[in-house]
Amino acid sequence: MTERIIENWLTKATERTYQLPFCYMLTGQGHVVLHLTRHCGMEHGKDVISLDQSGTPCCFQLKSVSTPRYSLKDWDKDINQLYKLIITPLTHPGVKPGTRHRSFLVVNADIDEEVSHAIHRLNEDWQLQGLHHRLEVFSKSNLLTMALAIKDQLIPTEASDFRSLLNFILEEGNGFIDKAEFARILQNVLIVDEPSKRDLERRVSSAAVLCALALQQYSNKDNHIAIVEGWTIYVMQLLGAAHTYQISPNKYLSALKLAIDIIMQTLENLLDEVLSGDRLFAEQGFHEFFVYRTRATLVCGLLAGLGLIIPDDDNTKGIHDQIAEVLERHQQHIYYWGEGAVGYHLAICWFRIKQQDLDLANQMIQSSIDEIVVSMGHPSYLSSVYEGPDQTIALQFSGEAPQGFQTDSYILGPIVELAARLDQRAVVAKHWDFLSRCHFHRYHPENPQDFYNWNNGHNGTIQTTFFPVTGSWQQMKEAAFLIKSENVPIELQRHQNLLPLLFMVYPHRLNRDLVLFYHNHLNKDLKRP
Amino acid sequence: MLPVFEKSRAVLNKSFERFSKQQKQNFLGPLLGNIAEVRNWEGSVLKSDYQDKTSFTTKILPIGGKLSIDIEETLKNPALVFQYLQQLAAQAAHQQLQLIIGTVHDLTISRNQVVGGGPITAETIIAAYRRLEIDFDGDDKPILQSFVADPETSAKIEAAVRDMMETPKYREAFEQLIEEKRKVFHDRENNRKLVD
Repeated sequence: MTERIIENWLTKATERTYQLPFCYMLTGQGHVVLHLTRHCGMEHGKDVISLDQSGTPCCFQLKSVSTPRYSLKDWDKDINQLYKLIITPLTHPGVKPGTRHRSFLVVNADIDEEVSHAIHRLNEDWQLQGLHHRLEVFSKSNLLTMALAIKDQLIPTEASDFRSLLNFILEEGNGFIDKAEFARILQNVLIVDEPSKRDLERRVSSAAVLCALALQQYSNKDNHIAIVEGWTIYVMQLLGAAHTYQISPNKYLSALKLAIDIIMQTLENLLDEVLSGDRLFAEQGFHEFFVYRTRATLVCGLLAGLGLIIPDDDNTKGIHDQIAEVLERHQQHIYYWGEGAVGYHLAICWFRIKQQDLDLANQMIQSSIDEIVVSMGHPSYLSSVYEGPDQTIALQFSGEAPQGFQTDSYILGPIVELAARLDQRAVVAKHWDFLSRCHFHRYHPENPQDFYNWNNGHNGTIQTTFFPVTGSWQQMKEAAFLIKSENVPIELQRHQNLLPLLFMVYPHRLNRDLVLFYHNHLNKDLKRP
Repeated sequence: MLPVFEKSRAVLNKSFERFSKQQKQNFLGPLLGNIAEVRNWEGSVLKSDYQDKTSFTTKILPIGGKLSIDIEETLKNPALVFQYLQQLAAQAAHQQLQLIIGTVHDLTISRNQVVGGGPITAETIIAAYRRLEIDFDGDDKPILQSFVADPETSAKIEAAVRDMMETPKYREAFEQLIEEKRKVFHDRENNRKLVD
């Protein structure tokens, strides 16, 4: 069964969708992955570059075919790229110039005999000419062997996890992923009783391959948002495992970088898709009008998140400008569907700050607070920070939405503190009558590592605080500079860039210390006070 | 295995939820039955930190009941299920009532809001209102809190309130208290603002 699942995944994969799992399988075999391509045509046929256990550079060209076998026709089509892979010297900062590299053709199918002969002849010719060039092949059977080497950690043994995995694989792939379930199956791979060091390394790779496997349908549909959410959950589970087992950063950094790479690549694909059309419709139908603004908020927030992750230099200026263009085009539709929307609003605000457009950043914070306060005062159901946008809209139209206390919030406190940090007194003063009656909640996990879990069930404390009747702006501003760093998990202190993504994918983990910590980090990067 | 009636089960579960909610409201009465509920998605402890630096901590307890069904009897008469479900809903409502009263009790002690201890008199009622924060409506009329009690205690409270309103001495004290509360309310609301 396990072999069939993996084989089925490989057969349906494109080079883009199996690239990352392949990298994790390489790391599982002791390789250090130095680079993976974004298919931008500058890579001289080298999709993946790694150092093997002996330190020899290895370059891989990944190919996918929809037929069961890689034929001579495919070979003829790819030959030029393969020559580049083999002949063009490797230039990478992690490799000494002039170092010879090994070249690999990786295919998700079996290789036709004619192709094997052609490769054999090519290698012989080079040998006869006294050249060191040589092409090696990883076919489907090699890939299967690599995946099966980690199958014990890869395929869940618990029946419920196995069923969940199958559910993901059988999904249409055009909606949202069930984030709680997704986090649970990844966590069950990564967190086990007393794993050995080697076992942990294998589990990190296995969880990544499992992640790709579960996201297969979403990848095939180019469902960028689902892919980003899935890999962000992997990142959080990886950091959770690092915290639980005290793994030093250099031991998990390459796995983390690979996941961040795929997230960024997917967000760039989302950017391309959004730029290719005027509107953000996904299908035809009257219901699109009820979800349009929510979709626009998700897209704008995530793209702003991309703008926050990528460095600000001449190479990325184009991307920053494109993101700004998307925001310009769709900002009017930014919407607050419930507490889970705040992460997206914050990402947009911070992107504006990064763009040095403080007026727009301040406008974003002001309109967010306005919208939150108006929504809380409205009798219709306002979803909690634990409910996703699709779930919220479904509940709102089901007629079965529960009535909650309209003065309770997990996110209003942090965003008001950020407004204080940005010296936005007017909006806070305008809503003080309401704010001074609100109950501000915050969840504290019992153990620090529990922060990374999707939900800790009956564990931890919900703390409620209040603003005074008469608020002092001076005191609020001072307080907004105080961060309890012990409330920011150490792994997130090291990888602050991930925080905006965390706020969008795990909105229930957003709190004032994390928000202000990220704001500090961003200002430090921009050399602002 | 034998087939499960999934669609029927889903609809029946939904119906039971509605039935249970209705039963709970009937049991708790219009006041307690309509208290808005907030779902806690995570955590086992609620901790409130007040502006006066005091805190109140309470545990989040699950509410539920146990259902024992006489299968033979119920197969003969499926309508019996309603009786069982009614019992189950009553158990849950009873637990919720205990939870509300218990939390109010603990909070009252924690916030030093206990009055009386002896018989319930007009003075007890005035002392109780003295401890409370009272709001006023747009016409400047007090929005007085309701008393929740068992029938026997309710009768005593009603008698004490009547005595308070009919005895000039107590009525005057009560009106004076309301006047003080009005001033406190207006002071508070006039200061409900953000200052520099």
